[in-house]
Amino acid sequence: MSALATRPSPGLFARLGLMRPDLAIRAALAHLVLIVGALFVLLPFVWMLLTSIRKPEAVFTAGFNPIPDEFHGVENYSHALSQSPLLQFMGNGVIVCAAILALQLIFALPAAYALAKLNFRARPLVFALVLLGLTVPQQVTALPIYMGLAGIGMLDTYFALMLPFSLSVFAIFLFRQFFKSFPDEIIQAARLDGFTEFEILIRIMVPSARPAIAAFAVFSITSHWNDLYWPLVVTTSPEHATPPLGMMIFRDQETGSNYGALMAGATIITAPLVIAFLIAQRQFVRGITMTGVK
Amino acid sequence: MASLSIDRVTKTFGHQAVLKDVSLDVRDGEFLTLVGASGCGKSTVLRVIAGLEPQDSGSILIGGGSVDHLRPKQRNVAMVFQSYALYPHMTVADNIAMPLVMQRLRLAERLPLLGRLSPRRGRVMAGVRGEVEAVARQLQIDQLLARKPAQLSGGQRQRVALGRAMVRHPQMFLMDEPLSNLDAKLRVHMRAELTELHRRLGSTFIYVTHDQVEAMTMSDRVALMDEGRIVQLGTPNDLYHDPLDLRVARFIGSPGVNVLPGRVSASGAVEVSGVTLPVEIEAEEGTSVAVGLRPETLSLDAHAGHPRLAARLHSVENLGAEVFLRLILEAGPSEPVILRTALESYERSRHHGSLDGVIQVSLDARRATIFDAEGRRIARRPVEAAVVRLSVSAE
Amino acid sequence: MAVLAAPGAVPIRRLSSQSRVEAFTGQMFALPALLLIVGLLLVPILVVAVLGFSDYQLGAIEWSWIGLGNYERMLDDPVFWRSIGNTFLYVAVVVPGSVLSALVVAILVNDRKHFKSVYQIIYFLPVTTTLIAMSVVWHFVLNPQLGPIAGLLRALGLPPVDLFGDLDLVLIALSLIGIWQLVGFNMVLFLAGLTAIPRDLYDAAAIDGADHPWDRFARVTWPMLGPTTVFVVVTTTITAFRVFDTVAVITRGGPIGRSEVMLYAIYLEGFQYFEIGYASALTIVFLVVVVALAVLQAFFLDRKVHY
Repeated sequence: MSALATRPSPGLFARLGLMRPDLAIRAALAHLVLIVGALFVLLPFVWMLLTSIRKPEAVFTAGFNPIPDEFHGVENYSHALSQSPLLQFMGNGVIVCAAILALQLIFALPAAYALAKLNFRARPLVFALVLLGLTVPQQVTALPIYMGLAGIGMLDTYFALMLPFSLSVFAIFLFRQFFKSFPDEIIQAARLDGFTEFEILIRIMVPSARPAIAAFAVFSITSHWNDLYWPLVVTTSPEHATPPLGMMIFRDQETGSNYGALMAGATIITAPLVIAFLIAQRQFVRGITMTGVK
Repeated sequence: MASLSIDRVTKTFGHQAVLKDVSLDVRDGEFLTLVGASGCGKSTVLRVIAGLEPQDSGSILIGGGSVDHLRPKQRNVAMVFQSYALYPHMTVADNIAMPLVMQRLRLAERLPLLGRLSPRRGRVMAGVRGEVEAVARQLQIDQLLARKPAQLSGGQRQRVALGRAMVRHPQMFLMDEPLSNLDAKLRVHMRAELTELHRRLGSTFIYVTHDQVEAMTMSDRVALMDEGRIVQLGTPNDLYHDPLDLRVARFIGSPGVNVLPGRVSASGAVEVSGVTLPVEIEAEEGTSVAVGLRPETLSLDAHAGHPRLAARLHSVENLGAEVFLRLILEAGPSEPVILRTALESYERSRHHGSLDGVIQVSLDARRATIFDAEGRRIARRPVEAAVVRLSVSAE
Repeated sequence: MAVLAAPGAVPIRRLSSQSRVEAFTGQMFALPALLLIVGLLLVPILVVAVLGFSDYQLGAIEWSWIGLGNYERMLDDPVFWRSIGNTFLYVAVVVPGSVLSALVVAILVNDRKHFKSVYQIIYFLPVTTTLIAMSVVWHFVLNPQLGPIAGLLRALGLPPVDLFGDLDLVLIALSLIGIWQLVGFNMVLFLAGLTAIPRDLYDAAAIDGADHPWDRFARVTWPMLGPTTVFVVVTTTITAFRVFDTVAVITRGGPIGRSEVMLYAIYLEGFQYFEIGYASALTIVFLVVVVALAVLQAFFLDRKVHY
C-alpha cells in the first residue's frame, strides 16, 4: 500500500533526482513484502528443479543444503523418461486437449452465433440452459456419464476422456457475448451481398472472434491438460493416461525411492504449460482469468 | 483568493518535454484560460499548479509565496476535472463534504467505527453538513443531496463537482476542460453560468480548454499554448485581432482565418493573389509571407481604397443572420477562402446577379495580419490607425 | 429520405422470408449444442437426482428405490459430516487467505515502477502449472525428514513438523497449497479492477486532502474495488469447494479422515466403492451448495454495483 502515497512535491530531492525519503522507504518495504511472497510462491519450483539434478542419495542428506554438490540431472531425467512412459502421457495430453478444443469450437461457435444474432423461437430456452450449465461443475455429471460409457464398453479410451467436455457451455456463453457486440450492419450487408448464414459464420464471425478464440483455447487447454478428476475416473491403464494421471502413476511407482527422478518427472510434466505461459504471458493471463470457475 | 505566478517551469515525461520554460502571471480574481490543441501541455500546467505533478524546474507561487514544497491539499486550490471525478459510491452530500471532512477530522477520527468514538466528530460533521447544504443551495442542487452520481445528469454532476470545489473556499479554482463532457446546448448554458459564478465568487479561475469559443467567451485573458510553450497571452480581442503568431491566428476564430501566400514588393508592400496590399512592412523585398485574412475582412461590397480580388463562388453556408461564402480566388490557392457577410448584403448581391461568374471581392488591408515564413508576425512600418485603435481597446 | 429509411420499408414478404431463414438456420446452428447440453448435462443431472433415491450399486442386478434413504444415511455417516466440515474449514481458510493476500499483492504490484511484470509472472506461475505435479513437489518440500522446511527447522534447532501427518495441521497445510495456487489468479483480477479505477479519482482525493495511504485506500481503492471483490470472493469460494487434486495426491483423506473433503468422498463412494446411489445423493448435496453460491454471486453482483 506504500506508494498509494502522494506524489512527491518538487523540492530538494526531486531536483537531485531522488525520491522523497519517506516514499523511498515505503517502496523498499513494498518490495520486501513482495519478495518474501515471491519466495514462498517460487519455493516448490526451485526445490523441484534443484532436486531434479541432485543425486538420489544426496536427497536424504540434503536437508537445507540447497545447491547440489554434483550435477546428476542427466541420470534423473533419463531415469524418469525410461522408468515411466512420460512422453506417452504427454502425447495423450496433446491428443485429448486438441480434440476437446476442436470439438468445443465446432459445437460452440455456430450455437453462439445463433444465440447472438439469429432470431428463433427456442433461443431464450437454449440460452437459459447455457446459463444453467455454467453453474454445474463437471463432477456432478461424472457418475451417469461414467455409467453410460461403462454400458457401451467405452471406458479407458480417448473417446471417454473427451466426451464430457465436447460441449463447453462456457465457450457458447463467451462467444455469444463476443458476437453480440458485433455490428448488425455488417451482417446485414453480407446478407445483401448474398452470403448464406453459414458463410457469414465462417467468413465473418469466426475471423472476428479470433482474440476470443485464442483466449478460450488457452483456458480450455490449461484446464484439460491439468484436469485430474475425470481421467482418474475413466482411465485404468497407463496407455491412455493424461499427464496428471501419469504423474500419479509415476509417483506411486517411485514412492520413497528416487526423489531425483520424481522431481525430474514433475518438471517434465509442468514444463510445456510453464514455457508456453512465459512465451505468451498476456494471452495466458487473459485466457485463464476469463472465468473465475476453473 | 490569490494571484499566481508560474516561473520558468519545465516538465519532461520520459524523453518528451511537455512544458518548455512556461512563465505566466495571473492576477488575483482573474479568469484566465489556457487554450490549445490536445497535447500542448495545458493540462500539465494545471496539474503542476495543483501539485499533482512535480515540475522538473522552475517554481509556482500562489499569493506571492512558493508552494513547491506543498502537497496538493496544502496548496488550498480546488480542481474541477473533465470527468468530474466524483466518488461513485458516495452521495452528492458526501462528495461535496469530502474536502471539509478531510480538513477537519483527524486521521483517527476518519477510521470506520473507531472514528465514531471521538466526541468532537459529531460536532464537526454537523458543521460540515450545514456548509454543504449552503453550497448546494447556491448551485440549486440541494434537492439532489441524497442521490449518488450515477443517478444524476451530466449537468448535475458538473454542479456537484463545482460544489465540491466551492465548499472549501479555495484560493483559486483550477478547471480542466470541465464542459467537454456536456452536450452542445448545455455547454453554452454552463458557459454563462461559470462566468456568472466567477463574477459572484471573485476568485481566481484558471481554466483549461481546447475549445477556442470557450476561451474567447469566458476569459479575462487567454494564454494560447502549443508544444509546451505559451505562444501568446492576451485578451480575447488581442488574440483575435492582433495575433502575434500564425498558430494563434489559425487556432482562434471560427470559421478559421484565411491564409494566403504573399510576397514583399520593393516598396515594402505585400503582393497577394495578384493585388498589392497598401501596407508597408519591415521585411526585405522578395520575402515570402503568409497573409492572414479574417472572413469579415473580405466583403462583397466595394469600399474606397480596398483592393479587389477576382473570385468564383464555390459554396454558400447560410446561418440565417450571417452568411459564409466559400470562394475560389482566380489568382490564388485552389482551396477556397471564406467570406463572412450579413444576410442583406448577400441577398442584395444575389439579387443583382453579381454572384454569377467572376465576383469582385474587396479586402480590408488594414485588418490583414502578415507573418513571416516561421509564422511570426511582421510589424508594419508606419503604425496604422487600426492597430492603434485595437491595442487601445485591449488595454 | 425515403431511400434512407429503407431497412424499415423493405417489402414485407422479403422480410418474412429473411426471418424464416434466420429462424431455420438459428435452430440448425443451435441444435447440435442443444443435443449435447441435453445429453451431457440435463439427462445426467436428472439421472443423478433419480439415482439418489435408489440403492443402486454398479453392476448390481437387484436394486430398489429407497426414497430418502441415502439422505438419511448421510445424517448418520461420520465420513459425510467430516467431509462437509473439512471442506468448509478449507474454504474458510483458503478464501480469506487467498483473497486478502491477493489484494495486498495486487495493490503493492500495481504501484511499483520497477519489476512490476516480474512480480506478476512469478505470482501467476502456480496458476498455469499442473497442480498434481506441484502437489507431489509440495508433499516433498514439506516432508518432515527430507524437505527444505524440515532442514531449515533442524538448522534452527527446532523439531520437524509432519504437516500432512498431523491431525490438526493437515487441513492447514492443504489450505496453504490452495492459497499458493489461487493468489496469482486473484491478483490478476484485482489488478484489472485497480487499473479500471480512474486516475482522476486519486487526483481529486489528493486535492480534497485524502492523500494519506489509508485515506486513499478507504475512500477510493476499496469502494471502487467492491464489485471485483465480490466476484473474486465468490469464484474463489466455488473453486475452494471443489478441492480434490491435493487431497487425492497427498493425503488421500488421511490421517484418519482429517482431510476428507466433499469431492473426494463422492469420488470414493462412486468410483472406488461403486455405491452409485449413495454417491448420487452426495453429488446432489454438492450441486446444491455450488448452485447456491452461484445464486448468491448473481444476487450480490446485482446489488453491489453502486454506479
